[in-house]
Amino acid sequence: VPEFDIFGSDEHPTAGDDITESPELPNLTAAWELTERTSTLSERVETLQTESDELRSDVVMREWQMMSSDLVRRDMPSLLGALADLGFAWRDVARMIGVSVPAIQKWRRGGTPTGESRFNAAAALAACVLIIEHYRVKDVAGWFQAPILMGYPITALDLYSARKVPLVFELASGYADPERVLSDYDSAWREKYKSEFEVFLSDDGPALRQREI
Amino acid sequence: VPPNLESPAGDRPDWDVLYRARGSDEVVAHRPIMTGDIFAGVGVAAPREAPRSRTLMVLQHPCSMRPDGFNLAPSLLVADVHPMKPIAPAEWVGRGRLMPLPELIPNIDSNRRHQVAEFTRTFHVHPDDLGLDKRIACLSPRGVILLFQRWVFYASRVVVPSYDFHDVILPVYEEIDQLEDWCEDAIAGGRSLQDAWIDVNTWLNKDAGGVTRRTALGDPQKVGEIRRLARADAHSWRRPVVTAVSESVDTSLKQDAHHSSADDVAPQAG
Repeated sequence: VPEFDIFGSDEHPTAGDDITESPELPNLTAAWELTERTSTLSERVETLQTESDELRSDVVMREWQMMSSDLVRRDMPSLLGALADLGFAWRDVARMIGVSVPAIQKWRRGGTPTGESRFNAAAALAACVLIIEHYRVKDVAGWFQAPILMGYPITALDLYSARKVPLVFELASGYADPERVLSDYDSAWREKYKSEFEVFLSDDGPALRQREI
Repeated sequence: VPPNLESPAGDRPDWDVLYRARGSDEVVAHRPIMTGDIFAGVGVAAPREAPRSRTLMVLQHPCSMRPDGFNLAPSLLVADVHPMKPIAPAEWVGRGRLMPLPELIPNIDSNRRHQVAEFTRTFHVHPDDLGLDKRIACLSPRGVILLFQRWVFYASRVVVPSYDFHDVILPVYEEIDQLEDWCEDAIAGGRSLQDAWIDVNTWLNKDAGGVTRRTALGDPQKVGEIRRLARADAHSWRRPVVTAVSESVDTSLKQDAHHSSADDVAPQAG
């Protein structure tokens, strides 16, 4: 077996002290051991990444719950008004809270909501505040309504309405792979939402036509 | 899985998702006519029959029923609505000649509670015959999309997945919502429905970075901003209750005179 330096010389520098040393590889056994060690190192990095992701998700979810509990002290018209001021349509607000648009209209006019609905309104507002503050999303209503992946109609609003809130925060953080987020939401998203049509603006409004192949 | 006619909420008989508003408590007169709106007590004649009062559903796309983008066409296509037992979610894949309307009138127990729009019985009506006081229900975006899926299937034998309709319905639905929200605020501030209607349409025709605000409503990157601006400008019509009570009639008249021109009816953003 010919002996050679897999990590090369100074022409191929690496990032960290632990792995920048050019190892001596006198024989196949040494090379085998080094391969094992680097594999272990990769596994550790992967584990650390997973744990870090889980920790970040867990912390933001706790913060969301705490902020929701704090905001729920506000009355319902105030919570709804704050969401509308962010740029949400009433039908979007209704979806986030899990109620109908007429229910929203009644509360805006002073009707009494259930405790659960009021908490859900506070939670929706808290989610928006966290996304704006932590992830620097300026137009949070537009962000919720934009497709997660071009060509597929699923939005962050769909995720939130399906109570997949951790996925919403992951997406907002910018760390998550959008395709992985969509798979976590619906494993059949590629087949289910694949569109053969595209929207174009005709002379009297939006219209559909078949995509060019 | 090839696309098929869809039910409102998968296997669940969740009929509420079909509707935006039902009954006089929920339906408002200041919402413009939209696809799927249902009107009761409209006099219309079937071919070779005498006119009679019917319940009808509007079928056309909102862009198609407003050729100039503003005024309704003089002839609107509508379908007869009549009672029928609710169809289970699994059965929505068939019966393409009708649009099921379960729980259309949820507060009654008679057979009128569940109805359907029948595509085999269509009529043309003048928009004035669809008085806004006769409207008994408006569909949700999901309801409108399913109506179009079934109507296109009935008319062409082609099944188009419901999500494909999403992008051609939502911008127009957004505009209808915007018109309703603006008019609600303006009317609460003393503006007439007619004037509020002119105000908001003028407002929507203003520029929003190379396109009109009306067009920008179809852009997810702009719609939030347009809503925020509209909400702020429409709110300018609302006055604090104390002020409104204490102000004299003369002041109100002056305000009305000040806002009499359609071009300066609302403060412009930016």
